[in-house]
Amino acid sequence: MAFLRALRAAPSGLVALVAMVALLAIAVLGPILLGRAANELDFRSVAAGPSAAHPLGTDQLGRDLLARLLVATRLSVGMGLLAEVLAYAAGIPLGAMSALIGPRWRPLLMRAIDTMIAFPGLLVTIYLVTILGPRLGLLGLAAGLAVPGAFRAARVVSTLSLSIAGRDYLAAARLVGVRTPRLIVRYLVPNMAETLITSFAVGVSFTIVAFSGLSFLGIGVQAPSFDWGRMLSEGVNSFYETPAAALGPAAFIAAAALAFAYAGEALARAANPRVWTRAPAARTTAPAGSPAAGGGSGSEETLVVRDLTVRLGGLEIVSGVSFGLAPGEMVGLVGESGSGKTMTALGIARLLPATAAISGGVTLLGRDLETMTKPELARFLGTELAVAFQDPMSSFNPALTMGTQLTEGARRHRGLDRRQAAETAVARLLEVNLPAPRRVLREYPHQLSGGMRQRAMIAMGLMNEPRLLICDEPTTALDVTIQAQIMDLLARVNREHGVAVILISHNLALVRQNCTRTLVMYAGRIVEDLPSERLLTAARHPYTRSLLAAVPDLERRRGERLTTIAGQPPDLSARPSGCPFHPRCPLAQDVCRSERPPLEASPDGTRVACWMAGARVPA
Amino acid sequence: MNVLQVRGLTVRYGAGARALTAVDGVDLAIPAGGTLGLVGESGCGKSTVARALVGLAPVAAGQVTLGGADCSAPAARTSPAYRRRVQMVFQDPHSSLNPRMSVGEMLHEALTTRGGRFRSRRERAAESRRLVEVVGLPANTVDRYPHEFSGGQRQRIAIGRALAVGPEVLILDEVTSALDVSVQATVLNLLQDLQRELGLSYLFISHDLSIVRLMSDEVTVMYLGRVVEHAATEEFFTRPAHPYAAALMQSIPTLRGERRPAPLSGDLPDPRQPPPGCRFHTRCPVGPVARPERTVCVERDPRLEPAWREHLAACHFAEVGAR
Repeated sequence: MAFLRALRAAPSGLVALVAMVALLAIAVLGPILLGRAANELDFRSVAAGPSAAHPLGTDQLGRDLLARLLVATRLSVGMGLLAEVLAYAAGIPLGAMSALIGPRWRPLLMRAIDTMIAFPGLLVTIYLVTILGPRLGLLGLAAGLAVPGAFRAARVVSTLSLSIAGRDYLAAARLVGVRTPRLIVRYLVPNMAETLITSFAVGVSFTIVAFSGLSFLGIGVQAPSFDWGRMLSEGVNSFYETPAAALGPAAFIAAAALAFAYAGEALARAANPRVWTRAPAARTTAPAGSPAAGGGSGSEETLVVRDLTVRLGGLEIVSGVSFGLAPGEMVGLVGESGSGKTMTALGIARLLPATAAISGGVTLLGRDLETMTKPELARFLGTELAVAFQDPMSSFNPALTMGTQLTEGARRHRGLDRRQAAETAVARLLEVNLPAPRRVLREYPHQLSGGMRQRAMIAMGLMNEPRLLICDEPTTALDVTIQAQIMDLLARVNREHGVAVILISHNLALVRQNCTRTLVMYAGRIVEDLPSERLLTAARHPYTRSLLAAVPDLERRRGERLTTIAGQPPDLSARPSGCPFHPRCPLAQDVCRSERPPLEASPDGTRVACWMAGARVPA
Repeated sequence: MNVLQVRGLTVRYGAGARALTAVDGVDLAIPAGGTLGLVGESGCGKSTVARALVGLAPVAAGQVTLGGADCSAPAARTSPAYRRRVQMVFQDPHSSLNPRMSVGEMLHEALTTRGGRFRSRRERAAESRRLVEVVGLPANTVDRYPHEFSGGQRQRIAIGRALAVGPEVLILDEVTSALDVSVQATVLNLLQDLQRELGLSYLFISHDLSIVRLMSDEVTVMYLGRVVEHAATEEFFTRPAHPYAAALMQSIPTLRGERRPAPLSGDLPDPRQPPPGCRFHTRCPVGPVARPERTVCVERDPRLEPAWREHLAACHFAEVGAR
């Protein structure tokens, strides 16, 4: 029933679907129920206008036009469907083959398809219909309509197939011995279903119109058969006397075309299994407030985060996060994916999507972000805070030169002119060890290597001499030797410029070696906060300790087993009661299952949220 | 005794000036029932080696022997018989499973194509359930679709599919690099268990030396399409002979050691135009950049030779010590 829910989300699609189903029903039932009425001659009212007995009037022989229109639906819609089915039956294998046959023959096949598309489709149809029509009747007509459609379908399928052919699952299937026909049927077609359904439906709508056009011109359906196009052409002759005779078929043609086109889109959306197999998201009732802990008084700190909570799509993804950051401090934020590290950072930087709801306080350099107006905030964050993301390729605009992107912020926020900004950019690029900075400024992002882009990203962050730099997995996409270079750079920026750094990483060893303090996050909350140098000796939360034990340090020998954490990170839509870690925790007691432990500060400044903090983990 | 042996493997993409020789004359051998760790950074050609070994990359030259039989012809590596013996698990479990097929359907498919060992539908269904249990997933896994699983579970499914054809050799291409550390641990443990129970041989490809040490009996290091070092695991980690391998080791952050400054400067050169002589000389901390008198590094391509006993290295100054 989730299928229906998916449809309800788009009412226009629902209307189109209903219209399509109605058309199909008319196509099936029309000739059965109204076949006689449509051919009944009523000589008392010949070529008459609309009346109670004949809502659309009658034709030259006194036959009821509405009945005829409804009966004609079978031929018009049926031909549209038949022609498209033929087109796709030929087009899908043709297009799929062009992706599967390998690089030598591919260009030849693709060019052949392109050449066929270049012919005007309707002309090809008219030509074929003139040759085939008389001999094969309706099947000849359908074939004539199908040929241009087949090449269009082949083109769509081949483009989609090529993108799927690069996926590992296709390679994996070949490795286990799956043959080509099955690859097409089970791998290519289902994975392009959405697009195929849409283009099929649009094709049907196109073909209905084309077929009507042929009949209108007199080379389609021949009397005594009749379809919408033929009725239109007959109606047009007496347009000034009985306009309904022409407008009726015209309206049906237009409505059918629209119904198929829109219904196709609605069906395509619903064809994705993700839409109908995902469990409905349960609402959570998270506690509204939580005690703000630690963080210090705040006046001398670069950043103070108090009770930061982020809600997105009905889920609380960050819950009551509080911490402070001294000038020149480098803090690591660690946790598994989905623990809320990135969302915390984006919440601080006010970079969350507009649909997110943030609560709690963020004070940067003594100024409360809540109290600022939008333009003030943009300017303040634009100069005092910088963020470097994991994938610098997707954070740079590929269409602009590095120079434009690096200088934009400085020109906007600090009012530098083009030359001054360029000079600053050169200086910053030199600082991050990018050789030939002037050339880099003229280049586009794709011309730089991954390591160079990340350094350029950090240089861009440093343009306005910010006091806080947030780095979200800055080295995850990079090689270890390059990672070491970037960490050197961050350490220097941190030390020499006194810039406070938040380093978000899943790599505990990296954080342990580079950060003064480590914050461990789990299910949207900070569960432990302690100096990095004491991570190995003084971690008290069982989650932190399990994470540490799972790290394959260089010390591990061949065959050694790694400690694992049972289960999986909690689903935020179904958060466990009490301590969110309890279902995976080796120490869990009754209290852990019922009550959530607060994040409590010790006299030594460390914080931990665990009822069993420091207890020995059973072997 | 090696189960899969490769000599002079060369893979080239394109032709002419834009040609990329991704793998250039690589020798390697996977010990029977053991693991060869293949290490290197992105662009070194390690994944291309993997793909070449299962017939997914164009091999320009080289010999491949599987259990003594010659499989050098490209057609030999796409034959059903070869694929029944050599399977591969890909890096990203999100792209290696067909989102439109249930796990059961995937396994059935792999079982159907396996030389007829499971003839009836019932046998295949039973074998699918056994396979998902072997990789540590609940039996109802077979009725579910890939998107219902986490990354670690998906990787288990991918391993199960590879096992379905009953292979001897598994090529594991960065199989845990897309996973969280706790999940990585479970997958690595599973692979170790499977190796012990089924006597599988692994080619374990990774950029992460710490997991390579955990998983491998022998280690081969690649740089820019070439093998630069090969040794037994403990020997390799105790005294790396090639300066590149030593730099790799130094770059890895560890939980216990202190941070060390980055040992290498500069980026990987363009693999389309590899530097002359030793390909590593542009970044080498003991090469001509640091010691201008070592011109031999620019002039002569070092061969992979014993630095001491069975420890091979391709470096003109391997014996004098990398550091």
